[in-house]
Amino acid sequence: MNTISKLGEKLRDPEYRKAFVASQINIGIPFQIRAMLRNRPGWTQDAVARRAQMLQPRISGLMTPGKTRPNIETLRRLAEAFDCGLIVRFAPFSELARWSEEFDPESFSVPSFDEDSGFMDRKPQQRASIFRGTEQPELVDHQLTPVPALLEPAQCKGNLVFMPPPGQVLAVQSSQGLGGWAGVQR
Amino acid sequence: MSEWRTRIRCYISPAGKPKIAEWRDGLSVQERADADAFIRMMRMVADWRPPYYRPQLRPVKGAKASQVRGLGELRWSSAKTQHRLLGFFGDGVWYAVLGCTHKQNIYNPADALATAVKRKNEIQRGEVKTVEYDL
Repeated sequence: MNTISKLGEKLRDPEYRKAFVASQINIGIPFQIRAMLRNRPGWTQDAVARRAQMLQPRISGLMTPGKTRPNIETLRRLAEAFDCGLIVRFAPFSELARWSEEFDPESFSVPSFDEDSGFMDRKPQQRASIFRGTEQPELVDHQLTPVPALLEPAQCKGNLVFMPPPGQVLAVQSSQGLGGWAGVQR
Repeated sequence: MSEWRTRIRCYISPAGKPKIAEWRDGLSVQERADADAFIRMMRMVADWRPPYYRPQLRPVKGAKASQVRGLGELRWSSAKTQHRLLGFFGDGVWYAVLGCTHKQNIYNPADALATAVKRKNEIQRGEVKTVEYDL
């Protein structure tokens, strides 16, 4: 039996279901905070405490599984300290179970707003750098994900570029892993 | 299971009793859910460190320091009680030998450390079986 189906069996017990929701807060949140600290070089409990306007022992307590029960206001202040969002919403048990099973405390990372690729400034001259020296074609940005299998990959000035058939689709993926974009060449 | 960065195996008594499963079954529902969540997290972590893991316990009364060498404990709280799972590393696997609670430097049951040392020795001498943690 794999872990998700094993968890599904446990969740058939209403009492365990109630306890499971609490455990995702009591145990899960400390591991999230630990992971976010680990993934931000130079950050310490003191630094988070200052930003969240809390004392360092409070942060230490919040990182200790089961020691404290953080309320939403505390989580909001932590999100503010990490300059990231906080999602609090009701969800089906299957979704919570999947999140619980897929959460990886070693790789979990939430970027701050400035590093959030979803809000990266995408100026036309930056996007069109591969056309330096030639006239930049007019592009319509569609936020598409490149489909490498359908395109010819090539390296160009450090970027992975997928060159399409003429007059079709152009896609560029940053070498810094900041995500991709695609446009239709008119 | 390959997804785990740290594998955990559980002590089986000479009489064939799964002592870790019995410990888990004896917990309240909330304590069980918290233990499940905590141990799952720790299996996903490669490098066990404080405060989640204390790698070396102090010698127990009547036992030599050498006997508890390598005996550590997973630490978490649940239902206002500090919980411990005692065990040791060997051959890249962490062997869980005993679950207990801890308050003001006192383990419950009181003979927890002595029992953990005994079970550790039984595993290391190959006198007992262990099973993959699958609770």
